[in-house]
Amino acid sequence: MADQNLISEAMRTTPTLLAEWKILTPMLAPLVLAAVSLMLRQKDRWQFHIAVTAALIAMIGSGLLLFDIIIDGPQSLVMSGWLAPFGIAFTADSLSAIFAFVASLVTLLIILYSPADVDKAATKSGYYTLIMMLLVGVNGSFMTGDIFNLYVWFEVMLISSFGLLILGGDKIQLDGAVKYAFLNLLGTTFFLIATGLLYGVTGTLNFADLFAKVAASEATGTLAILSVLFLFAFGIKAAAFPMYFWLPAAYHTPRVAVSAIFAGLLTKIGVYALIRIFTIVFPDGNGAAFELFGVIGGLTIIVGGLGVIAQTELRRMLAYLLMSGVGIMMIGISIHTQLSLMATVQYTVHSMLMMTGLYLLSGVIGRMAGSFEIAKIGGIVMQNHFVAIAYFGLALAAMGLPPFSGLWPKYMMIMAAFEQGYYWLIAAILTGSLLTIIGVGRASIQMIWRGGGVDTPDGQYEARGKRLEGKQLRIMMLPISIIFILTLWLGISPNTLIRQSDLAAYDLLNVEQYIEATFGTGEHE
Amino acid sequence: MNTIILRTIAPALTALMIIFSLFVLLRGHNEPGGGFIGGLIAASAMALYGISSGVQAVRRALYFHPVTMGGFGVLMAACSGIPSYINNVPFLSGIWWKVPLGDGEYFDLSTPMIFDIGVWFVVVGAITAIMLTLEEAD
Repeated sequence: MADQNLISEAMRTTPTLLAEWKILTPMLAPLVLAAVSLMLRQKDRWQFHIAVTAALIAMIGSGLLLFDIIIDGPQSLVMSGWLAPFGIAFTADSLSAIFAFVASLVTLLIILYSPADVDKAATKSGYYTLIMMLLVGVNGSFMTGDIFNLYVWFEVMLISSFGLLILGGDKIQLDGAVKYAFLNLLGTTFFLIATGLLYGVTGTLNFADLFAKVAASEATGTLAILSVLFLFAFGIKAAAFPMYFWLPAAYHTPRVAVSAIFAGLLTKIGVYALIRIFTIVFPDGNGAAFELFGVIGGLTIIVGGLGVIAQTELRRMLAYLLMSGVGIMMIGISIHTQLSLMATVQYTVHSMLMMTGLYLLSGVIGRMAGSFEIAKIGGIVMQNHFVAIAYFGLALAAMGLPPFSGLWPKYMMIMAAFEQGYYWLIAAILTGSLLTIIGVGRASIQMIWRGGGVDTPDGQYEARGKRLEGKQLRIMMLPISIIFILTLWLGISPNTLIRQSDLAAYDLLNVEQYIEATFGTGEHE
Repeated sequence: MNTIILRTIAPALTALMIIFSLFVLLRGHNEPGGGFIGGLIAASAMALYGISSGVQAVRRALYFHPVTMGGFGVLMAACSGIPSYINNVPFLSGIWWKVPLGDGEYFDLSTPMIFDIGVWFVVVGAITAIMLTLEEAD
C-alpha cells in the first residue's frame, strides 16, 4: 500500500483529456511534418504545401490554447505521466500562447513569401524542413515549463538557424555565419553554465518549483551573480548592447525570407527568456539586475538608433532598427510594473510583425532596384505605388508614429517610466525614436521619392533595375499586405492586443496561477 | 585502404556489426544499450564498408538516402507518443502490449521501444550522411 501512495505522489493517476493536448500542437505538428518533408525532400513541389500545413496547424493550435488560457488560466501538461517537478513540464500562460500564436503566424507568412525567394536547389537542401524545425524550437521555448528544456529548445532553434544561414554557401554568408555561430554558442554556453549553477544552488530546474526555492534560498550572493549571468546569456540572444555585434554582421547575408524569419523570431526568444526568468525565477531582480536592464536597454535604443542613421545598406539598417526595438523591450522588464510589462508584450508582438514585414519588403525593393545599397535605390514610388505605400506604412510603424501599431506600446512605456520616475529612460526612448525617425525617414526619401541614385537631380526620373513579373510580385506582396493590414488594425483599434497583453502582464506578475497549473496538472474536475 | 584483406573481410564484418547494433538496440530497455549507441555501431559498420568498398556501394546497400532514414526516425520517435492519446495518458507515456507467443510466453512490445528504434534510425541516418559526404569530398 505504501508503494501505491508513493506512486500517486510522483505519477499522475487521472486520465488525460483531449483539451490538454492542445499545448503540444505548436511543437508536435511542425516536428512530425518536418520529418515527413525530410523524407520527401526530392519532391520539391510538396515541400511548400507541407510547410504551410505545419505552420497553419501550429497557429490554430496556439490560438485555441490562447482561448483556453483566457477562460481557465495557465495550462500545463507533464510528459509521460510524471508529476512536476520530476517530469518534463510544458506550461503555457497567456504570454506563451500569444507569442506562439504570433510566431506561427509570422512563420506562415514567410512560408507564403518563400516561393518567390527560394529556388529549387535550396528547397531540395531542406529549406522548408529547416523553417519548420525553427518553428518547433521557437514554440517549444515559449511553452516549456523548465529551464533546462528551454536550453534544449534554444539548441533546436539555433541548429536550424545555422542551416538556414549558410543555405546557398556564399562566402559572405559563411563570414556572417561564423560570427553568428560563435557569439550564439558563447551565449548558449553561458546559459548552460548558469543553469548548472542554479541547479547546484536550488536542486531544481522547473520554473514553478524554482519560484519558491529561490525565494527561500540563503545564497543571495550566488543568486545575484546567476541573475547577471542569465542576463548576459539572453542579452546575446536578444542582441542587446554591448553584445549585439553578431546581428548586423549576419542578418543581411542570407536570402531575404531567412533574414525575415530571424528578425521576426530569434531576438524575441531572447526577450521572452528574459521576461520569463526575471518574473518567475528572479522576480525581485536579485540585486542589481533590474537597474542593469535599464542601463542596457537605454544604451541599446540609442546605439541602435545611431546605427540606423549610420548604415548605408538597407538590410543592415533594418538590423539596427530591430536592435533599437529590443532596447525598448528591455526597459519594460527593468521598470517591472503591470503597465511596463504590458507595453513590453505589446511591443514584442508589434516588432515581430513589423520587422518581418520590413525585411520581406526589403526583398521586394532590393529586387526592383537590383541593389540593397540605399544610395543606389530610387524611384520606388514611380515603379510601383503599392510597394511605396507598404514601405511608408511599415516605416511609420517602426518609428512609432500613428496610425500604426508602434505608437501605443511606446506611449505606454513612457507612461510606465513616468509613473516610476525613470526620467532618463524616457529621454532614452524619445532620443532613440528621434534617431529612428531621422534615419528611416532619410532612407525613405532616397528610396521612395528620389528619381534614381543619389546623384539624380530633383524632378528627374531614371528607371533603374527591373520590373517584377506580376505573379512573382503578387506572391511577395500578399504576406506584406497582410502584415500591413495587421499593423494598421493594431494601431487604429489596439484594444484587442492591449487586453491580451494586460492579461499576459498580470500572469507574469502573479505567478501563483502558473505554479498552480504546473503542480496541479491532471487535477481537473 | 584498398587492400584485398580489408575488401574481403569488410562485408562480413559489416553484417556482423549491424546484427550486433540491433542486439544492443533491443537490449537497451533494461540493460546498457539503446538506440543511440546501437545507431553509432551501425553507422561505424557503414563507415567500414564505405572505406573498403567505396561510397557508391554503401549508398546502394542502404537503398534509402541516409537523410530519408533520419527523417523516418524522427517521425517514428514523434509518433511513439501518439498511442498515449488513445489510452488517455500524457504524451510519451510508456504503453505496453503483451504479444502472446504460445506456451504462456509473452513478447513485450512497447512505445519506448518504438521511440528507441526511431533514435536508432536518426543516428544511423545522420552519421552516415555526414560520413558519406566527407568521404565523397576526397
